[in-house]
Amino acid sequence: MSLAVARTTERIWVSNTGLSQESKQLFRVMKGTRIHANEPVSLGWKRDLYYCAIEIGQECAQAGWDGYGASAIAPEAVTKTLELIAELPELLQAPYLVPSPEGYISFQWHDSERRIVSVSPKEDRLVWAAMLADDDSQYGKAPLWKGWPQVLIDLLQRYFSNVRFCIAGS
Amino acid sequence: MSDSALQEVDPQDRISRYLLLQKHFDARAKVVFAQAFKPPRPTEEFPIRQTSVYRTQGIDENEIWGIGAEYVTALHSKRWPVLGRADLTAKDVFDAGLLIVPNPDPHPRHADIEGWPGQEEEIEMKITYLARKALLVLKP
Repeated sequence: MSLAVARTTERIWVSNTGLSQESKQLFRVMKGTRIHANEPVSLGWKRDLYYCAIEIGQECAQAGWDGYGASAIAPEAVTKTLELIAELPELLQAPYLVPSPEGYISFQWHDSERRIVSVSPKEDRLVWAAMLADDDSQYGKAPLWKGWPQVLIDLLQRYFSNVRFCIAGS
Repeated sequence: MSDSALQEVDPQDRISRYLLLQKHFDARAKVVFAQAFKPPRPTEEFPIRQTSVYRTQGIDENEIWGIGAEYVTALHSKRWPVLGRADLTAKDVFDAGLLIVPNPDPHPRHADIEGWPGQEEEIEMKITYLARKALLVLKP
């Protein structure tokens, strides 16, 4: 049995009886905080990832950006990365974005048990691999136009969800 | 390690991949990302996929970082400093179904990880395996 626990009651947000400057200032702060608290949980990390993808695109826009023979990360590759970020389920842990010498931006998840999922959006396909244990690995590919494969989403939700359930009574 | 010993790779040998790019690892979580092991696409000049590594068994930390400064940073077109390294054992590489081929240019301890498969998803699997096995060592 699971139990969702609210962070606070609604009552604290709607209290607006003060007339002083301090009360009005406090109300404005509370209002802003309430708006922020009601944003989707993942908006923060998605926004950070958008910026990160754009930054990588700028830093790696020229061929040879790694000092060796790396292909440039083209604006189309950055756009595809942004689309994939937008399509990610909101209740996943934020992935890392890693520039690849082959001209795209990879997604990587890892956890403290050294489970790793690496996903690479290439020109026309999504290539992915998961190492869940030394003897438990999966990999595959799918057409890029289809977005995230369901098998991969299921795997990410199982191992890299940012939702924590508490058991009633425990 | 003698010259003849450098031709043979013992499964227990330490294999180090120097890291020049901040985005190839997470220092806080002590994790190396799979892309750090990605072999470049074959070209006419280099028709075989290779990941450059060094065999660092039996030498001390100062010497390992010294090799990085002298043979990685100094030969890099942008002179990027070595930020850390990903340490594996040779067995980890062999277990991934890959080879370690001694290639004493530019240094006697230099080698290449070879034997990469042709399918991209299989390459992704092998670099992810190496990332799981890698120990991140940051440059002091």
